[in-house]
Amino acid sequence: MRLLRAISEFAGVGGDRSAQPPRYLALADGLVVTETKAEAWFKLKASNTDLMSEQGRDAELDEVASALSRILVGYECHLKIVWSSYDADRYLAEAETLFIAGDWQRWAADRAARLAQLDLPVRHLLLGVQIEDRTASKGAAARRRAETAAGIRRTGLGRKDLRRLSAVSRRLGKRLEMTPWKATPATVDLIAWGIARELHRSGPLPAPAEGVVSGASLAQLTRGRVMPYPDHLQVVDATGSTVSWATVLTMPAFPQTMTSPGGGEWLRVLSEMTYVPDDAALDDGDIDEEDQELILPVLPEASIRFRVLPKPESLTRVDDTRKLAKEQRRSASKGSAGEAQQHVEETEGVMSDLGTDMQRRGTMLLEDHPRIIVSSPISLTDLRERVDAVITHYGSIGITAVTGEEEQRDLWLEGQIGDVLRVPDTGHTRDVQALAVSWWWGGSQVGDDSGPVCGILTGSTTGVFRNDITAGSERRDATTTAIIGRSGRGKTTVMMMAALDAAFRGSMVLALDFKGDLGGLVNAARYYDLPTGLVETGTAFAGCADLFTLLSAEGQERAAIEVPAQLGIAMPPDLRAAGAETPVQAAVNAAIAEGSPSTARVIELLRASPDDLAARTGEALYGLSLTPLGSPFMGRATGVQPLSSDPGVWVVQMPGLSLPKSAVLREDWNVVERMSVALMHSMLAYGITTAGRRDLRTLRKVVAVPEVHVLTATRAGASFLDYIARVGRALNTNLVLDTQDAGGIIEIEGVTEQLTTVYGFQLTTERQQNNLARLLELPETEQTRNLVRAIGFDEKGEIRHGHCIVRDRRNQSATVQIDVPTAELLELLDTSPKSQEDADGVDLKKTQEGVQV
Amino acid sequence: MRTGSTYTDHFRIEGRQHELFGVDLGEGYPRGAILFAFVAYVVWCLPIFLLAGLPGPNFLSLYIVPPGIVTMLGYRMSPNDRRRNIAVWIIRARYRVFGHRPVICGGRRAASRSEWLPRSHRRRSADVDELAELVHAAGPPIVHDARPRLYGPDYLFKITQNHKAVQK
Repeated sequence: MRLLRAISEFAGVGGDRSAQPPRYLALADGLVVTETKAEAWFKLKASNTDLMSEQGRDAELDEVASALSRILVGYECHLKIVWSSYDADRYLAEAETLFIAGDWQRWAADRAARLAQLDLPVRHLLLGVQIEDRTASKGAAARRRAETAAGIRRTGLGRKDLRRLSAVSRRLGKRLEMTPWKATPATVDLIAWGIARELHRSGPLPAPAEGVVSGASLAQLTRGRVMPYPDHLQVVDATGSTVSWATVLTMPAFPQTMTSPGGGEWLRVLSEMTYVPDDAALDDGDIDEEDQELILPVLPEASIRFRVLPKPESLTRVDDTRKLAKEQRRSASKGSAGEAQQHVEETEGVMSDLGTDMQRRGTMLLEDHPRIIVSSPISLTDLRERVDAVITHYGSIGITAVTGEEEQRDLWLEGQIGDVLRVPDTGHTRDVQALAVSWWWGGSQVGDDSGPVCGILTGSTTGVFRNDITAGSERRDATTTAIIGRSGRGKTTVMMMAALDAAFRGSMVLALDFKGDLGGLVNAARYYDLPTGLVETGTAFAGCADLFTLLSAEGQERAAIEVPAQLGIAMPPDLRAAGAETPVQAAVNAAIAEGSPSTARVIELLRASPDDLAARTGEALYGLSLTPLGSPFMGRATGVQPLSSDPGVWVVQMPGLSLPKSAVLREDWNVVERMSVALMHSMLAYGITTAGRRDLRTLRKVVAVPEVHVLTATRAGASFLDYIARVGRALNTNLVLDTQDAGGIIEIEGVTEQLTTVYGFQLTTERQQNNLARLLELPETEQTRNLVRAIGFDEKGEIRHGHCIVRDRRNQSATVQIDVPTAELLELLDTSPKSQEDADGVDLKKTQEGVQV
Repeated sequence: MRTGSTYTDHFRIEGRQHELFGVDLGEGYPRGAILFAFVAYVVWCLPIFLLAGLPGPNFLSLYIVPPGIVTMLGYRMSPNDRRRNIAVWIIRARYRVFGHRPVICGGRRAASRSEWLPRSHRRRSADVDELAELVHAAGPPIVHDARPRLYGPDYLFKITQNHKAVQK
């Protein structure tokens, strides 16, 4: 037997090709035990690397190389990268814990149907580490045979062994938890799924008993058969139907050096491989004709068995190779050859340098055996196209991938959890950095771990994007969300979708519709049976937004500053230029001194003033206070409040509002624009303080404010926004801001400090791109600016609505496509100037005249 | 930027014998090939020698040529991967004998002969239709060529009455 093995290895056909398939004894959390070995299995977490800075990536790569060298040295390891489809039904189950208001079931069902339609692939990273060789104990095999013959052999694992192995697995897991992979023990359900999926079984998996799957339940996992053809495998289920075709590729050649960023990221790119189905597959009727025009993902899987060589073993191997090369050089020089072949001399130098690196710089070597598994549930032709796509893709980065001809059976078995290395002769020896730069754990990951699904990740790995704008206050975290970008890219739609999600969670959502395009939000809320209403401000609500009243909780000191600033915005510029702010301040102080101050009282004092300038100012302001725009904040209070405090979606529109363009100087604002800005000032404070009422403290609240850049354009407005953001946090109110001016947000420290989530849409000027980069915690480089510029376009150069860069509460950034689940909802939320008729007859048409933003 | 290096090719360098028993071999011959040739000649020639003794002049080539050809062709590198042709031949032979047998229920039971892939499917075929026709049969098909006659109730009644009449 040994002679045969030696001859096989000499011939290049070594390895345990004839070993039995793994015979599972027990599965438990983080543990797989077979008859021949015990392995600890861990689930690795993906890292958000797509938009990471180069320094960040290098630092993480160094950490990983260190982890490989320190923690996994000497262990036989098995890395598996597998895919599954996002389970849309699971979202329906989650929705029961998320939503409570309106027809949330329909809302969740629409979202689940959309997720099912998208069929998002989800990547799973599994790492197995052999912790015990169960064949090593003397007589183990003989004892098993004797027990089997006597019929007293027990299936499963003894408690003592299980406890011991579980402890070893946990200890290793604690060390791996500290690495960038943030490894956690793989649950028994995940391990069972990992075994069953190799046979593409779709039936229910066995439930673990006391956390362990063993005995007959284990048998269920591997029911089915695999037919090994020369160049592929046919997977047949228990009923005899072919469920899948698969091919295992080996990778016999790699470039000598691989870099990251660059072609060295050969495992991260698994999600990026695509192919176009051929016409022949259409003839089989397996693929719809529409799909032919689509570029479909291949989603190959990877199985890499590797072992980090202990230093003495590596040094011995390196030294032996160096000596051989040296001996060859000397031997050649003695004879007629004169000198050895060039590659031999090169090897001597490389080995010498490598030895030095290992001694001085701690370089470690590993052996790995990479396999790529390509499968297709459609047909053999489709499988071959996918294989061609994978081979071509790797060929373009200098890696040779070939079908393992006539050894598909061995290669497939080798990829099973708990199996052994069967085909060792296509492996590689490299430094740990060469495996680390493959970035198998890299990809795109941003958003909350739980909460409503808002969109999908569009980076190198896909997945769902979740965000709950009301979660900040629950976490005692910051409470402001900013949505930044140019018009027409989907900012307001994002705001409305977030507002709807919040409303379904039982929140009171107050949307201050300065621009006049949030009417669709009311229609959408009505469509899903959420309590909703559209309110227009006017003279009926005189005084409801008086800053004296709204800021009274903070004391009169704040109002003493803000009211004059607001009246300064409203008054004619000639009066302001003449110095009318002085008598206004005096009148404010006098009103405060009298007690029970109000803006209407300030105007009365001005009108009654003996000073000509003050009187003229008072008359001007009085006239303005009688208008629908001025009445809410300058009129005499009627006591009527426009807003309900019930949970639901409440949109406040201000008819006649006309906000100035951010480029227009304040001195050039006309009267409508001045009044509009002043009213906006006041309605914002009204919204925040209404939401912050004591009786509403336990209620989730959201105040959505579009076009905030109009406020930030003035110093007074910026200061006010700073104040409101801080007050909102104290009042347990979540603020959602929409703006085109990233720089304006940065300059307001109070707002920036309160930002928990930032949505960055397209911006076109360099200054704004840099400002957005700062808010997104991305480096201000040409690459980032290009990303911000291009984020709003698709591959064909057309506008891509809803595509943005998101920075989440953990300061991670990735690209996201905000997704509206149904076409009906998208039509309802349309913010373009097309008319949207409200069932109550309220005209929701955006005010055309004077709307600049 | 980080760079990783793969040293596989360096560790696979092969020693060449530049001199053998005092004879200068020039650029040298791979030591593996020399050993392979030695093994091939021993494996081939020893049994023949034991059966037929020393070779005569007419049969010398029978002793020398086959292992020489096997060495020459077998030690060459395969065009597709890193293996030598001999390894590819062994793997191919192994597939013909063992590698085509299905894995049933994760290896819990061995596949019976009837479950093995037929010989015609053990070769790499680009013809998808041929594979689609695969039938796992344990023997030749059973041909049903029965042509039963149908007897209606009238006829049964008639023959029953006839039988009763005969019995009487």
